[in-house]
Amino acid sequence: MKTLWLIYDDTCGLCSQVKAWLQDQPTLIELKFLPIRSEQLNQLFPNLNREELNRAVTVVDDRGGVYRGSHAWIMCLYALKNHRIWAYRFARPTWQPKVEAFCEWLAIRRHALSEQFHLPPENDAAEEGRMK
Amino acid sequence: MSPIVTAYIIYLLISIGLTYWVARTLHQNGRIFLVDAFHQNEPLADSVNHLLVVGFYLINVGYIALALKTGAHPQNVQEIIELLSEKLGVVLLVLGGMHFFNLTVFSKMRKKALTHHWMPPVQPTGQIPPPIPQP
Repeated sequence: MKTLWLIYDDTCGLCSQVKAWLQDQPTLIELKFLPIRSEQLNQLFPNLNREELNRAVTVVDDRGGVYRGSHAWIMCLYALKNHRIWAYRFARPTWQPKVEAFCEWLAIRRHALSEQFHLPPENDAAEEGRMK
Repeated sequence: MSPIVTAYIIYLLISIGLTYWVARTLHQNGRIFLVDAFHQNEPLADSVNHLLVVGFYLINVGYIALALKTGAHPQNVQEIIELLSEKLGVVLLVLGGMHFFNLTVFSKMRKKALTHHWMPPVQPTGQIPPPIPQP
């Protein structure tokens, strides 16, 4: 496995901050980032369901394997040189249900949390469109 | 030689002797952890090993020197033994603490390096055609 694509919501401040943090980290596997509504996403992965992409963060590996929600975040951590060990911790059977529940809770409330904590999204224009 | 000076000399000989023994153990047996931690780069592992041992000596001999002085006035062999027992006991606990701390650090470094070879912790839940390689 050499590359992972993280498909994220760039109108969400929380997602944008996490993506910025991931971008700064040294990696063992190349981590690429695709906003949900980008042209590049249409070209690379025309088969992905847009509604599902909006509901939960998605990661795709270079063999076409798709990971959603907490598994997507686990794969992001797996790609990072200094945080790979956390991928294994979060994947433990005893931790998994709580981690999954927490990721779902975050996904549903991501825009509200972004506003509450004043986290700026990458794509401001789309954010304003959403708020109108 | 007064009893207290005798006690001091015995204290220093035993403490520094023990420090040397623990340092040697760590140096010889810790090496393999470091070689793994640095992905089989033996020159680097040896260099870091040596630097760590220097640090170990500095801290431990420093503590031994600081802890030497006492207000006690041993008058006979019994009191010398009791004084030595107290002082050496603390030195040994400090050495033991440093030893386990070193082991923990070595172990974490090695484990982190080993994860570089591990498979992903989760399986994909879906499958789509792999992306066409971009030019």
